[in-house]
Amino acid sequence: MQHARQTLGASLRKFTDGLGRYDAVKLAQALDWEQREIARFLDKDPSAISKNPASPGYQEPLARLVALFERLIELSGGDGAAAVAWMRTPILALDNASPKEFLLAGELEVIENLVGEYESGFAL
Amino acid sequence: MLTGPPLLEALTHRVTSRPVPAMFFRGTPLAYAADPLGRNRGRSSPIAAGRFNLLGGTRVLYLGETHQTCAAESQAVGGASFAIAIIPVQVRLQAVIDLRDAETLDVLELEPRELALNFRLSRQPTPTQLLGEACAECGAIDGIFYASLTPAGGLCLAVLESNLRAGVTSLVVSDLRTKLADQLP
Repeated sequence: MQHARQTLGASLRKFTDGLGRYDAVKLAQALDWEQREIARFLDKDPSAISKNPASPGYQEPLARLVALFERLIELSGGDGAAAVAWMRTPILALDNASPKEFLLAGELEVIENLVGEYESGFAL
Repeated sequence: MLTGPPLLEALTHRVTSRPVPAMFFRGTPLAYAADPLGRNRGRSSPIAAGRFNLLGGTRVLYLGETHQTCAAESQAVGGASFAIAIIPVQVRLQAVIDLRDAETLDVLELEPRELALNFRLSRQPTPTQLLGEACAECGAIDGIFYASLTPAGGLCLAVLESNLRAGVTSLVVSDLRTKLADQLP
């Protein structure tokens, strides 16, 4: 778990700018999302993301997305690729949609809750 | 489904329950396996919603009758993307109701379609969540049998932790080889 935290710390630094603000474009790359997808997550126009990817207005939703990603990386023992793969996997508990589809539809809370459920044991 | 005082009355006086001494299994991410009965959950954030509990509600532990059921449940909720652990749990309960039993559903006025509602996508508390919370409140029920909603089927058990009684009912994990051990209550 120590190794996972170190890996995670290094990983998180990759998607902040020089001021420590979350950068939407860098985060999209880490999640293997297209720029238009992170724009949809933020409910913004893709051109706005290009111009100012670390806008103060994006910090709260980006911080929640990073926190979710962090929990997934912890669950996967530090494997960011596994976390990315999980996000695009259709899940029966989500009526066969992927977590990413929910995230892009503005339903971040549904996915946060699903990951929270795992602590109580896997149960459909 | 019944709600409020009529539901509590039905759970306390009319529904049939039975003791269950058996081995069940708990599927959990390997990252949490050192806490085999989930004692730590709810410490840093509210208890997550589940089929028989509300967000921040009563503590319910979800088990499967076989490791195959646990594996299917793990896959159905997306857990199979991670390394998972399936942990044997020795269950000793005194009053388990069975939602596969038509008579039980009649007493609770619970419709089969209500059992299948997906609480994750519901804006309202689902009947099964209200049932679990009521079971915890009435104090008379310590477990709920229900059919797995996975394509593989199987039997699942929701354990109401608040109704476990020391010396009478228990959940025990004891694996000599891995030295994994814990007990509730």
